[in-house]
Amino acid sequence: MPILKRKRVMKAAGLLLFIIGLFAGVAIFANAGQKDHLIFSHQKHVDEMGIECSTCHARADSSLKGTDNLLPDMETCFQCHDGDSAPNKCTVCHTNPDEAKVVPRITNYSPKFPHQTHLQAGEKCLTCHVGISKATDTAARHLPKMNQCQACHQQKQVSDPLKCQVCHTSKEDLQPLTHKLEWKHAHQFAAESNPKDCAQCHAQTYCENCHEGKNLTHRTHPLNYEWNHAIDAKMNKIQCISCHEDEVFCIQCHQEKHVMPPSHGRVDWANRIDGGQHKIEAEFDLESCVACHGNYKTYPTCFRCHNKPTK
Amino acid sequence: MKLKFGILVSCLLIWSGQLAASVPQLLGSSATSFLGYKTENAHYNFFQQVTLGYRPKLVKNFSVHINLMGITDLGPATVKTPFQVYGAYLNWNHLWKNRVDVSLGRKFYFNGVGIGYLDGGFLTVRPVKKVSVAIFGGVEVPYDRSPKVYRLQDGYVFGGKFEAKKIFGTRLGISFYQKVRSDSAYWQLVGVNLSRTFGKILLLHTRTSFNLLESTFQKALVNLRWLPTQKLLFYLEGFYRRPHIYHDSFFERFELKGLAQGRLNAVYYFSKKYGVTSDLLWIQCEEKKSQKFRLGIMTPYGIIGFQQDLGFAGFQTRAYADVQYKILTNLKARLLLDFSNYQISDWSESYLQFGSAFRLDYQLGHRFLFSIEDQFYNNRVYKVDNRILGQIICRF
Repeated sequence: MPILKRKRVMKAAGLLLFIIGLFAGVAIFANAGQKDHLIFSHQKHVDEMGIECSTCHARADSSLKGTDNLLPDMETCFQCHDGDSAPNKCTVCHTNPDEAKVVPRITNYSPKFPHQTHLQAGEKCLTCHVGISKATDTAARHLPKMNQCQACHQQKQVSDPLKCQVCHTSKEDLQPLTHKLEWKHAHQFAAESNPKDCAQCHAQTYCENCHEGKNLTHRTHPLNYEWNHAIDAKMNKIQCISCHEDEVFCIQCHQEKHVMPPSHGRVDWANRIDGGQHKIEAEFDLESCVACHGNYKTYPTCFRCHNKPTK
Repeated sequence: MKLKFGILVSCLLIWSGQLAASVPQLLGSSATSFLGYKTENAHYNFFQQVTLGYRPKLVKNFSVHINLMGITDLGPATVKTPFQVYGAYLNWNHLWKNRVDVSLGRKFYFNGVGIGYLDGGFLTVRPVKKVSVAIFGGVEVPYDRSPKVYRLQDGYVFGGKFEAKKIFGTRLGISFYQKVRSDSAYWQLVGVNLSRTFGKILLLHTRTSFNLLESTFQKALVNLRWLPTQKLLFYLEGFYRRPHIYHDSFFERFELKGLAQGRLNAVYYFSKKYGVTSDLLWIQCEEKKSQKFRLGIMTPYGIIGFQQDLGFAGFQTRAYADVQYKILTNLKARLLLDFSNYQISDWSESYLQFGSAFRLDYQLGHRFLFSIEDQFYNNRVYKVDNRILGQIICRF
């Protein structure tokens, strides 16, 4: 490799390492600090003492929005924790009462979700909040996952699981954080590891719109890709073959538009002494040769010279 | 054969229509697009895509799926396949106590080693809870997705996948795939896929395939995702690949050299709306090497990025942006910009290219999306290539 190119690569690698280090530092710094934690056991209150959910979450049966605050306030706790029937010291519930914090409200749950409708339909709290009656702390939220909602809606024929608007409004940003940067490359592993996760939101036709679509809106390939795709075709073919499973794809355009790769016009493209430039190119990217010259029913151009097996 | 396929699709549509009448659950979309541009001649392309999924209430666990596209050009005839069928199949899911799924028709498949579309049958059996066995077979779909169905005598494809989930925390897949023409196999692969998560912060995914006809490794891929915090993400990827050359191809005479590829990617999210990503990709075939470096910044308005390609595969310095702005609640503007200076080999000339697109999307309720887009291209052949795209998408 020429020294100039090597220097460029080293610079790029150095820059990348610097960015990684910067990210790691910011992440570690951001996680520092100590907080007050709530001491609360659903197991003790629900399972052992038999207290009804509605005793503390009284507003649930009339709630029509997922954003409603249904968590009990301290006044609710003090109704029982009055110092007689139950202790009322701050440390009963708070690990650090001097800097006591309000338990974070749930504000990002589906805004359209109506507790009232579900309770009126006869659903029990524990149908959706699975395992909460056994919880000894408040670390886990025990909110239902979307596939639980979908399974129930499908089983009871409430709605098609892929009809998003049954539960979501068009104003919600439903795109998970994982789907933002780099998802175009990384989704293949998630899709293969757990295809059911994808099926929660996407019908198979969603995949086909990109993998098989006409790229009218440039979601798959950038603008002007027709002109500079040769670099990716040589360098990053793993991406090409995820949609264009056979090289047959290439020849369609190249034939229709009479496009011959510029390399073929080189004086030293092919010779009978050492093969010339085409030998070097073919070693690096034989599939590009096959794309145009590999029709198995016809003799390829190569056969004129390569009439004997070289293996 | 086209007639037979047309009759089959018509029957599917009629049957689907009858099932729809029994208050089915219907899911689908219709996308009507118009693309007008002028190169040597003026072209007025119309695209009509329809996707449908019916789940009739009368027939439990049954559904019909269709994904069709019609294309026409009102200018000089350039469309070779005016009617394309991406999918048309009948589906029976969760049969025999959720142990069996069956599909019949034209469908996309991917079993870990084979990928593509088949006109054929697909069967998945789950004998026990964490184990599934899938098999499929049929004829390959024409590349242009035309309604033509190839004859079984001319060639066929079959394959399968055994999958065990969460055995010692690992998902294991063993796949087989074979393509046959003129009564002899010309592509035969066996593959093993493994994926495992370690404490939700580390995801390891491997995919390997072995070419049985050539007795050699065809592909090997290792992908590691490390999530040290909710905001920080690393991907490390290694990939080896032997060229995809069929056993009966003339090119199998040559000594085939594999390509090795590596990728390191770091992503950091400052918040839900701000993030940065950078990746380094390198590829090597013996002494010939290429590298790609990319940096992208995510903002609430979209992504802007920079890319540098170096080495044997070509040179490119590229800057791009994909930004959008909500003008009104239902009206969104999107701007795409792409500029690069590229050279496809160190001996070739370098060229400049610039592309831009300005798009307006109007969402009417949750069903309709109206879009209009102006595209401008400047490249080594066309100094000015202006295109107009209009789209109406209806979801139901």
